[in-house]
Amino acid sequence: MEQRKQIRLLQFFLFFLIILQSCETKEKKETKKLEINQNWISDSLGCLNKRNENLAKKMILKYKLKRSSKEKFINFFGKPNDVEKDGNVLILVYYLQTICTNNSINESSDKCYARFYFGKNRLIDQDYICE
Amino acid sequence: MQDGGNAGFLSTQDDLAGSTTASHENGHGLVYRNESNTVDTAHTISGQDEKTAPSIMTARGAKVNSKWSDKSGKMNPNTRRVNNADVNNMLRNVRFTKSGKGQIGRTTNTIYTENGAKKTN
Repeated sequence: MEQRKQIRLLQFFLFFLIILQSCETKEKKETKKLEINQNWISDSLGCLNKRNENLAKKMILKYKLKRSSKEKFINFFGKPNDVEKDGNVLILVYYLQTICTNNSINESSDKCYARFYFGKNRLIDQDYICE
Repeated sequence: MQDGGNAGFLSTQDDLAGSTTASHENGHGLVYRNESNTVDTAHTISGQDEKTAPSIMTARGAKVNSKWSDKSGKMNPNTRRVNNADVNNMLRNVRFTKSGKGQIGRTTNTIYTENGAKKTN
């Protein structure tokens, strides 16, 4: 009888340990997510020179965004600076290397753009262009 | 222009005949990289004094010396010139073979639509 009690106690302890471990792993993943795309999101106007083509490509690989939906993409890349439409294709445009004055974009200045193309709500293409 | 690619599009709203825009765009295709900055940028900061004209890769809207600026105080694109640093910045990542051949940029064969969007099919 005593032995049974001990086994039950051990089972309960193990169960509690598994739950705790799973919570910790989830928390670690969340922290990692913040670390990787934080530079992209924090440079929301593109004038801090934190955004670049390499970072965008790394984020697409890391978060498995190839052929992802627009919603999932925005979850990791943040709100786009502009949205364009070309026929049935939706283009999310993110500014890079802009010139800012008092935390707002100097609209007439040259910029670079990272553009992500969505067809049938799936990421189908991307390009990086500069003015 | 693609950053380091052979495709791009020109807007007819730009002063294409009178400005240095076309040459500037060509510079992007030739993988221009500013080596004076700690960050990797496709544009440069130059034309800060009256002796040196802004580099061809200076961004429109950049603040430059009054000699090179228009009435609004922003760079006048007609004053940009290609200088030695520009050529170095375009060639710095190019690896040449023993026979002297090197590849600058990449061929993407992209076609852009009249709206400036990449043709996706």
